[in-house]
Amino acid sequence: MVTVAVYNLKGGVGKTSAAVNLAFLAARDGYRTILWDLDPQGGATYLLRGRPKVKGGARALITRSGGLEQRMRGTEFDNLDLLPADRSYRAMDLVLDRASHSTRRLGDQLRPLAGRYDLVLLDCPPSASLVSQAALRAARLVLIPVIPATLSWRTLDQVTGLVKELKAPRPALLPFLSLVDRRRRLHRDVAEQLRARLPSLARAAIPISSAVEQMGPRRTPVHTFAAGTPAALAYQDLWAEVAEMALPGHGGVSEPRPPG
Amino acid sequence: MADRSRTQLEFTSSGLVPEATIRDLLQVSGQGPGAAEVVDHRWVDTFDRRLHRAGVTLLISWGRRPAGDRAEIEGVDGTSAWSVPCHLPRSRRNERGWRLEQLLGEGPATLILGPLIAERALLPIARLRVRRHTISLRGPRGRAVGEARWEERLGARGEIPRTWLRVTLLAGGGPYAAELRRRLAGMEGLQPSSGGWLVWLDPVGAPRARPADPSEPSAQAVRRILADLLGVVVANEPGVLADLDVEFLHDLRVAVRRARSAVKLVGDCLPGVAVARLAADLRWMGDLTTPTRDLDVLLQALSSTGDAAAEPLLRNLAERRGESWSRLSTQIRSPRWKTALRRWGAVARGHGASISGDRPVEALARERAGRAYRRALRLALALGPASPPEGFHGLRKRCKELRYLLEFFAPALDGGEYREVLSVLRSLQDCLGEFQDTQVQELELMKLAPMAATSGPEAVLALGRLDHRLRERRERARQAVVPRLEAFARPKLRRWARAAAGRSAPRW
Repeated sequence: MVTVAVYNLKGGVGKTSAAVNLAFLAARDGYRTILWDLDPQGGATYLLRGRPKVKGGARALITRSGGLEQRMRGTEFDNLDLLPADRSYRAMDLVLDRASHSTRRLGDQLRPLAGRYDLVLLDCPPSASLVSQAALRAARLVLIPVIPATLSWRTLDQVTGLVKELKAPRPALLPFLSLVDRRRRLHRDVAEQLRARLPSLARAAIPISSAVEQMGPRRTPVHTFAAGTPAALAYQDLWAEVAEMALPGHGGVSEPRPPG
Repeated sequence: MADRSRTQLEFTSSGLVPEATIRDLLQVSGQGPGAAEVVDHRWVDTFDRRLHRAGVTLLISWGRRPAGDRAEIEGVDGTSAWSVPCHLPRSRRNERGWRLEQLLGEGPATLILGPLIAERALLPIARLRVRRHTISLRGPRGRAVGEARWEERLGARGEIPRTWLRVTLLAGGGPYAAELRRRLAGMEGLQPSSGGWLVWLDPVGAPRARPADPSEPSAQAVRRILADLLGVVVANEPGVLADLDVEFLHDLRVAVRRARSAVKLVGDCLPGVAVARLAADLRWMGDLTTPTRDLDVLLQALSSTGDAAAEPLLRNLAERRGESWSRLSTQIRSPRWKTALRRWGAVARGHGASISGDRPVEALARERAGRAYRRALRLALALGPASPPEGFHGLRKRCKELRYLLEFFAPALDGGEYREVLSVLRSLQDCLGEFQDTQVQELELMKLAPMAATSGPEAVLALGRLDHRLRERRERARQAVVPRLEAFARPKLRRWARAAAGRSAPRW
């Protein structure tokens, strides 16, 4: 089972849209996927028509063994399950702080699910909190949506710094351009500069798109209603890059095991 | 998917249930957009039902659009249904069989099912064309409660029209899911069911041998054995001709070899002339399959080493194997092969018996098994780790004959030390088989030497490495054979064989 976090310190950069669409694409490709909505705003839960309520709240999820599996919710899509957001996530930092091995905690709680799932996507809250640290530590790959604007450089540097502070093994980073408006000169220039400066930048760039905005009122991933739009195709390209990096040969997810 | 997050309820009805009735039944607070399309279902499994034996069902569904082609896997990790994309191009849909990777690509499902299926191809075992409806079930505030999918068998070609409904309820659906459950429990015309459509269909099964009855006359038992083996040959023949996987040829070859042993060891129960002709036919059929099978075994062994430098050698071997298969398939399509099968069928269906053919099969089986053991034992006692390969090969053939006899007449011989004999025999045969395989493979490798010399130093070195591995395997087998020979010659087994052969049997 591979864990991928979608993270940026900055809000409104397209984390949730990316997490939902990538989770949908992974599930469509046959990967048994969990989307864990760690953001108390519950954007991913809303988009997947889930109920933003977790029995026992953050404490039950973090401290009880088997806490995640019991609180798993199905979605309308085959192979895609949801760990919904809950208001108590606002205090998840405190719960983690009181728990032993706080930054290892999310990874430890996810481990028992390895036999049943192939991929976990963490939709992280936009903060430099203990939750984010634990999510980054649990992840093998961190996706960082970056708007091509001057301030985004700074936040990208800050995220890189946060990851460097983690104990080894550290996750790989895959920054990608998000909400790109090709009509704006600044976006074009900054995107070019970022590409020149960051060889690790993903080839896929998610354009600003009304189709992605439509995910809100329709409460469904963009591929279910606008599969041919540039944004949907860009998410598909991004998913291909993620699979290439995190799931070698699109088949290296889990060890072969006999059914039972 | 994981069962905690979803519950699946299945229902069927004889006759079609109107769409409006189902929609009305499923009405919770709302329904998402629905879709209806004609879908072609094909259930697939290997020829020898490896998936079925592992409790797995694999259903391929081809919809109207290629993007909608999916495979549904049930029974993996105790989950109910796992949906993965099907990658098979539509132009190849009507082929006789497919490789797992052709159907499911290189994704996680292939990783999990691959070890179950190994080198076998997947064949269609049942098919059905249905009209499928899918709707999302929604609770208040548009929250997802579940999904309903129902399919209608349209009753073409005299089939009974039927509706199959599956409702998937998501965990966390709250009172709305509970209400839906109540409605479904109280509905008329639909009965709870499980197993999907497959329980209503008649999947094509692999041929199975019928067990022997101890009191059956010997001639009748031998005919039944020959008929069963002929069934295996006929069933595997299309797979060999289509070259679907190497196991078809293996199974065909083993059936011919077993028939040959049956004719040799207990063929005297049947009238003489036809049996003598059948023995000649079987020898010819067996010899035909040898070159291709030897190359198959070598290719499998060498591919598993993962030596990249051996790639040109493997290509050359694969070419030779292709040519060999081509010659074999020409012979299988020839009138001579068909005549041989016809004659085999005639012997299996024939009448009459020789004097020994009227005895109960139990007596015949014991006598012949005891005799076969004695022949094998004589060879085994003369062998040691330094013996020439011919000695091992001779013992291997005798052991095979003994094992086939034990398996042909299993119920008649069951009890006592029978299982122990079989287990010791299998263990010895594995070792002798490995020895013989490496011997044959080394001869095949030597044929590659001129080609390797022209391909460059890397190919020569790779050939050397492969040869070294074969020698190591052979030496290991040679060392392992001694304790197994001792086990085979154990006094307990000798006593069993003497008792089986009857009081008149000499001491050995």
